Formats: sequence, C-alpha cells, structure tokens
Amino acid sequence: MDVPIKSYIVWPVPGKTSELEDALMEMAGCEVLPAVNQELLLLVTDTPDEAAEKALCGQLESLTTLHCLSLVAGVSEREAA
Amino acid sequence: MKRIWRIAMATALMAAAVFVIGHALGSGEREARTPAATNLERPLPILTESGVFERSNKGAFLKDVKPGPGQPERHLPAYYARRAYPGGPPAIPHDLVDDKSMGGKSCLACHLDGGWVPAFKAFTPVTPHPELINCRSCHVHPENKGNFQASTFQAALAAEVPKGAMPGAPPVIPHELDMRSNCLACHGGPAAPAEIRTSHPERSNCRQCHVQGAAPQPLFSRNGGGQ
Amino acid sequence: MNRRDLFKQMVAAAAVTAAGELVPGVSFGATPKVDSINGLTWKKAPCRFCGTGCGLLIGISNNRAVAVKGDPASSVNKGLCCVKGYHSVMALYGADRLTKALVRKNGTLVPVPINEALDLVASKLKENIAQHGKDSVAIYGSGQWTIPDGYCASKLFKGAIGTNNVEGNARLCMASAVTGFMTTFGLDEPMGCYEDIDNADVFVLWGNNMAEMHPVLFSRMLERRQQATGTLIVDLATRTTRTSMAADRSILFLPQTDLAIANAIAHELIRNNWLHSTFLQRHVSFHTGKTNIGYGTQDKFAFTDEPKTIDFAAYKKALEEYTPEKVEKLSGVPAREIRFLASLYGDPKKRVVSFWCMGMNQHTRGTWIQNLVYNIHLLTGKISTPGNSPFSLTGQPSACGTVREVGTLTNRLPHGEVTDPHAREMAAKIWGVPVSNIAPKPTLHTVEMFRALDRGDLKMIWIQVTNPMVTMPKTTRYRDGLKKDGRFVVVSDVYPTPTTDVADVVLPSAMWIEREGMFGNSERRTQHWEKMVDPPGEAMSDTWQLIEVARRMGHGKLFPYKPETHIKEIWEEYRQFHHGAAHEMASYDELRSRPGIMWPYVKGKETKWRYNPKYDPAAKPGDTHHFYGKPDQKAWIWFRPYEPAAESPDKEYPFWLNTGRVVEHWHTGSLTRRIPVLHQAMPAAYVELHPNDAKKFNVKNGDRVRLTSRRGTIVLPALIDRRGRPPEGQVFVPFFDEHKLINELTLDAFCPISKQPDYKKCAVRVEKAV
Repeated sequence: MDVPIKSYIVWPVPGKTSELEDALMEMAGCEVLPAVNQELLLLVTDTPDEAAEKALCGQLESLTTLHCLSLVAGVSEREAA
Repeated sequence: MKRIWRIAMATALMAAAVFVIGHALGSGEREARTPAATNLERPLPILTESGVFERSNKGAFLKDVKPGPGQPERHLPAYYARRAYPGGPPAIPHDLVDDKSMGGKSCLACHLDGGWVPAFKAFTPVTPHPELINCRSCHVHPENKGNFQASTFQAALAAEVPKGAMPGAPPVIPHELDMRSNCLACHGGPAAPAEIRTSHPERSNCRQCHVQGAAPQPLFSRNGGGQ
Repeated sequence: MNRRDLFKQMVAAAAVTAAGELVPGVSFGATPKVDSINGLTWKKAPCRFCGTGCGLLIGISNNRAVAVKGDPASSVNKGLCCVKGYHSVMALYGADRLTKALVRKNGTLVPVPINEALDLVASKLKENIAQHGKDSVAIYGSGQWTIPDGYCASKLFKGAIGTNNVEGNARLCMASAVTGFMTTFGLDEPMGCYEDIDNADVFVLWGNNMAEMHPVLFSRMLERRQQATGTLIVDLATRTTRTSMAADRSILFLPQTDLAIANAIAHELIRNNWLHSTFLQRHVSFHTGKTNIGYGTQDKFAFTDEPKTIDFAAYKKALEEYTPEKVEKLSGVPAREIRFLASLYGDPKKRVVSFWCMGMNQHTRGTWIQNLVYNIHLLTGKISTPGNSPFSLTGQPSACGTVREVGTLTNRLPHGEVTDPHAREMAAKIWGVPVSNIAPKPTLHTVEMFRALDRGDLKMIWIQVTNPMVTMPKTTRYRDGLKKDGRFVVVSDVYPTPTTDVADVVLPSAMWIEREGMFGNSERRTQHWEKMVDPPGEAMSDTWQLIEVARRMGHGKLFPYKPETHIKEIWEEYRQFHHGAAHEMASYDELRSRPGIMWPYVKGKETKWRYNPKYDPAAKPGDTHHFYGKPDQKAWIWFRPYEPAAESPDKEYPFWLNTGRVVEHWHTGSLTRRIPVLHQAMPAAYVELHPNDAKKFNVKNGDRVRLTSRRGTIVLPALIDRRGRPPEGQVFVPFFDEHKLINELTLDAFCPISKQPDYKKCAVRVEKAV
C-alpha cells in the first residue's frame, strides 16, 4: 500500500464538465467532487499498486473531455507512519 | 538517597505486614492502611508549566505600556533575524557592559523587566528564563560580520502566526514550550513583536485558552486514529 | 473511518483549499456558505462543558454555529472562556455524528427510522416490567442532562413507572458533595457564590487542579491576587500541577491523609483558641457517627450511619490524637505546614475560601472529608459572608441544576428524599399520579446498578448523555455485564462511543444548542438557552425522546406538552417543587431574558449568600447567621477520624494510581476529541511518573510503560515532568482516552455514605513495556 493517495484539480474542456464527471466516476480508484458554481472538478485517486497507478494515469491522459490536470497533494501510508 | 531508602523500607515493611496478615486482596471488604510516610519533597517547578505564570504580576501593567510616538515597534522579521533558526538563542546586538560578568547582575538589570532605551531607540526584550543567569553560555556577541567559510546552512522556516479555528477563537501555540513557557516575556509588553503581542496581557493563565498546536496530529478516529 | 479514508479526506481538503486560491469563490457544495464574522446573529448559552457555567455568545449563520465569544454580560466569566468553551460549537460537527437511530439485528447495529427505535424501547420497557417487575428497568443519565431532560426522566420512572431506578453519573462526580452538604447543613449546594473570589484574602485548594479543570474561576482568583496584594493561594495536593506553579505555597500530602490534615488543622485551631466562640455557641452543634465503615467493594453492600450528638469537650478530646507531629508522620506534610494552614484559617482578619472538586468527592471517605473542611470554616465562623466560603466546585454543566435540584438519584425526588412522605406527596400532587406510585425506598445507586445488570437483577437500562463504558471503575466487569444475554441496553448519544458499542438500541440525540434547555451551575445559577440550529438527521432531544417513549407506554396524559412550548411548560411545572424562600426559582420568561439567575430568587432578588439574613430571605433576621436546614437550626460539626484507603500500595502493587482530567479534554473526550484543535493539542492518554521513578525503570519521555492493577493492565507512553509530576511511588493517568481505558484498572470502592467511587487511589505495578 505504498502508492500515495493523491488529489488533483481538474479543468474540463469547456461545456464537457458533466461528461467528464461521469467518465471519472466510472474509473476504478477515482472519487470526484464537482464544484457547484464553476466548471471545475476535484479528483481523489486511490490505487492499490504501481501498475494500477500507471494504468490510471494512462486512462486520464486519454480522456478527451479533460483539458488540464494539476496535482495538489499526496499522502502514502509510509509517509504518514 | 537516604530518603528514598526510608520510603522503600517503609513500603517493604508495610507490604510484609499485609502479607503476614494474609488478607485476600481484592475480594470483599478488607482492612486497608496507608504506609507511614517520610516527608514529601517540596514541589519543584515543572519548567513547561511554571513559566506561564512567571510574569503574571506584570500583566495589568503591561496592558498600559505601549510604544509611544517616536518609539518604533519591533516586528517579526527583526525578531527572527537575531536567530540562526526559529527557536535558536538570539545573539546580543549591543556592546557588553562587562565581558566577564554573570548575567544576574548585568544582563538581567535590563532584560528582566525591559523598558525603553533611548540610546538604542528600542524597547528591551524580556528574557523568558530569568532563572538561567549564565546568559552568555547561549547568547553570543558577534564581534564581526565576516565568515571563516561561507555556510550552506538553511534555517527552518518560522511557524506562521496561527489564526484561530473560528473567528474570535484563541489561536494555538505554534512552538514547543521548552525554554519558552513564559508567554508574557515574548508576547507581552512593548518589546514584543507587534505581530505576536497579546491584546490581553492581564489574563495570566494563558494556557487555559491557548493550547499546543506545534506538532500536527491526524484527526481523532475511533478506529485507532489519533494514536 | 479507516486510515485511508482519513488520508482521502486530507488530500481532498487540500485540493478544496488550493482550488479556492486558484478560483476565488469556487464552492464544492459540501461546505455550506456562512457569513463573515460581522454578519452573524449572536445568541446566549451556558457552556456545554464544566460546572463553572460560563456564559457564551454563539455566532449563528445559515443554521450553523460558526463562532463563539465569552458573554460580557455574564457575571460568571465576564467575557472570558477557556479553550474548550471557545471551541465548544465545533463539537456539533464531528464527521461521525449519529443522525439515525440504530438497532442491533443479528449482532450488528443497523439504521432504522427513529419511530421504530422508540417503539422498540417502549415495548421492551413494558415487556420487562410485565415479566420481571418495575424494578427490572432503570434510567441512567448525567449532569449533562438539561433540567427538562432530568425532570422528564424522573417523572417517567419515579412517577409513572414507579421505580426509584433513576441515577445520574453525578453519583460518580458529586454525590459526596451532596451528602457533605446534607450531613453538615441539611440542605444541598454551596452557601456562597463566585463573588467570594473577589473578596477573599486566602484560597486553599484541597486536591484541586483548578488551573486546568476550572480555568475561568482560576483566572478570576489570579486576578484577585493581582489586585489585592497579600492575597495568598495555597495548593494542597497529592501531585504537582500547573496549579502548584501558580500557587504561592504548594503542599504535597500522601493520598487519603487529607482526613488527618483537616483534623490536625481543627486541633491547632482549638489549641490556639483561634475559634469564633459566639458563632460556635449560637450556630453550631457537635456530632459523631459510625467508624470503620467499609468500602463497598462487595455486591449489595449496605450502610446506614448512626449520628450521635456530642459536646464540644468530647469533640476536642476526639481530636487529641491529631497533633501536627503525628499527622506529619502519616501524611508526609511537615508539622510546620499544618500549623501554617491553621494560622491562615485561624487569623480573624483573613477571609478564606476553600475550593475542592474531585479530589475530595472521589474519595472512599468523601462525605467525611467534606464534613471536616466545613468543620474548619465553622470553628472559625468563616462561612456565608463575602470571601468566607467553603466552596464545592462541580464538573458537569448541570450536576447541580439537574441531578441535585431535580433529584435524579435513586434516593431523591425533585424536592426531598424518597423516604420523606411529604416529598412523595408533593411529587404525586404535581405529577398527577397516586402517591402509592412513588416508591418509598431508594433502590440502586450507580455502582450497584451496573452490578445488578451484571448479576441479572436488572434487565434493562436506558443510558442518556453519558459514557459509562469509559467512566465506570473496574470497567471490564460492567462491560461484560452489559453484553450478557437477557440485558437490553438503550443509549442516547451524539457520537458513537464505547457505550454505544454495547447498546441494543442507539438513539441519536440533539445536543445543547440544537434544542432548548436549562443548566444549573456550581453557584446555584440557572441558565436558559434557546434552540439555535437544527439537529442533524433524525436526532431528537433527550427530553423529547423520553416524552415519545412515555406516550408509547400509555403515560401520555402525564406528558401533555406541545412541541413548540414543551420546555416552558416543563419548567413552570417543575418550578412548583421549589416554591418558598429557601429554594424559589425564577420564571421561564425571566430566565430567557437574562444570562442566568441564582436561586433562591425571591421577589426579583438573587441570593448570593445563604444562611446570612443580610442576603438570604429564608434566614431569620436578628443574627449574623441562621442555618435553617437542620431540625436544630444549626450547622453540624462532625468528628470523623482518619481511615485508610480501600487499597494501598503493597509489595506486589507498589504504586498509587491517580486518575483525572486535562484542560483540553472534557470527561471521556467523546466531544472534545472531535474538536481538532483540542485533539491535536492532547491526542492520547499518558502516564506521569516522578523523574526518580522513571530513572529507576530506565524510562524516558515517550517510552512505553505498563501499569497493572488487580483488575487490569494497560500500556501507556510515559510523560515525565511535563503537564504534572506525581511524587515518587505514585503515577497519574488521564481518563479521556477511549483507546486507553485506565478505568479498567481502577477499583469500584466507594464512600459508604455517598456511594461515590474513589478514582484517585488504587494500587498498581509499574514496568517498562517491551
């Protein structure tokens, strides 16, 4: 369980917010918190291992509704211990 | 040492007596007794606890002593500039009265209670630990500004001045209390940096409202969190 | 919540903050919109925590409590709070707040609609009463019950059901104070008020770490010392604390020897003739009672005192063996310190306040030590005048208002003892029940109540606003008892706790400012607050839970109150019990409009000093004092000897264990640990050792130490010379931490008169844990 739990701010392609939200919610290890008054999402990822983390990054990059992604914070069990 | 032995003896004798009488301890009523005592020690100060009251008798006075016109306030950047790192002992920025003396007679003459010094155009900072009178075992007087070798040391960042958890709530103490438990020394009176000067030095039991917040802790959780 | 969930919350919170900085004004819905500090509505409430009863102003915005300030109009705290008060509203918003009723099905608690849970509670009560009799069910509340909560509990159980199985955790907290007042004065609660602090020359703190436990009153005392030079604070304690640091004189004594010290002070007062002889002649009579009275450690222990009246000569003779020199040997206090204390009490020019709280209450001779401290004040006539005050402090916001005044103890009714036919008649009349409904004998006091559950004599208990699975001494026995088959446990609370863990039904409660209520503080001050915010989910006030269950049991006509006005209706009904000069209470409308009113409240005037005709309308004029509580119209001086603790250190268990609180946490921490500021300042329990003992065990700060008593064992991190320092041969552990249950080690011995357990003294073994 050494892969960190991370949070991102996600800017959708304008007009595609709810589409992106749905797509992210479908993906394993993702939790989404949409802003109520802006076209903006927060994403929290929790993956079991390196491979899953890589796969998830690949999936995120392939999303056409995602305009831009910025990492905010990460915590791993090892760091917190 | 002798006293410890006497207590130990008394405890042992007492235990032996209980053993001989052969009470079944823990079941039902039984004879109980207090061991005969030698005198307890006079309570000694607990350093992290005692300082908070150290200057409490000055509190009401400090409330009314404010920098006047032409008396510049100190600010945090200047406060930290005297120290190699936050919490480090500040250097002495002025000439010494006497290079040989202990602090009790020289340094404390000014740094015990503080006050305005026209020559320096500054208020004297007050020491948080006047009981330690060998001042210059920690506080040095920089004789020149040069270096033998440049240093790559980088100081830790100073804690931010905390805000309360809610508007009006008392902020936590963002530093450890060792050597710095005498709150009013640094937070009360005109020499206190303006950013951290208390508005209410007359309320002397500071820690009834301001609690430790120096070490971040995970939030409480019933499943083993907060441990 | 597990660790990973916690981390998720942390990183999500960081992202919310970061987004807020990048896109000002962005909202994620989860955080409700609140006004800035200048746009709030401020409403008054007494603090939710200790018995000081500080007045708070709560800042309300958008149906949420968002800020706190001290109420400058409150004479208790004059605008100041302690750290718990300032952060008190955050206790409403812990993420694991109980919002739904839970019922145990196939071993696990599952959410159900609250009506279904209330139906189940009512039917289980009826079923048990039908099968096993009315004394098979009980209610156990606390000094955090509002006055209407306690009143409805008493009316339902004592009036409607007809059992005296009504107790409050104040039995663990204030019972010795009550029996102390009753045996000495015949009436409960302090004669003085907090204004005594502003008038005293000397403060003697008897086993009372006031700097941490009653910080606002402590600060008022420090303020007095600043203003009146020569004011002296003496800390008389078993452990060095923050209070000792502020005191002018700190005197340590060995556990339990306060009894001998108090007698030695009386001995010295008499030897030096430092007595107020006219006061003694007119207002005092002398008495003694049984000795070797036991410790109550066995089930069904019973005790009745046999008071005998004696004269001054007999009292003086009984004190002969308490010379300062002899007491020095027992207590570890040098004879000169005892003489010093006597000289303070004995100086006719000095006004003296004695303060105490759990040190004297949680004591196997708790009633006796209260008597003995009153003796000192009575011998010198230092009582019931401004600045002369033996003052018993309380630990809960309404230990006085609810448990003592409403009488939610097995032996009490709202006015008087259950054994008193007049008290029963009055209750029957006001409640509208036949007098035969009200049982004339006390049944189970708290410790015996939990023993009866373990034995199976008691089948069902409803626990409100308290957490006995952290606070009961010898917890393991009582937890195992509650878990046995055939026991039905209902718990009303606001958060999951070790007590809800063993419940069959959990009812979500509305707390404090989520409902209307009143508390009564240590100085006889009743304080009202209105409902300010909505409770979460289906949470319901304890008062309304009791009314709902009463109606389901068929007692609806005794509880005819309307939802919008029930608190007013209940208050005006309850107030009838206290009509008369000795105990008159203010009306609902007056309470609503003012930040607290002290009773007796007669003709619009509060009574600051009882038994003093200058201030007290119930006292006969013409003399300096009138002690109208006892039949002989006198205050009683009791001779009470020193008797040892129930369990003292021996070879196998060579250390004294003392337990208590810290400034950050209140009681079992179920509220304060959910306030991040407080939890982070004091995240876990610890064990304090004397530095010499630490050296002996090769233990450094933070090292793990194992404590073992005859009842249990626990591992705690060591804390050496930080918050407090016990003497050699003693250790101290705070009890707020549900993950480190120190009460699994404590002993369930109690004062035979008050039935209050002693949490301050038992024997443990200390080892370095590996």
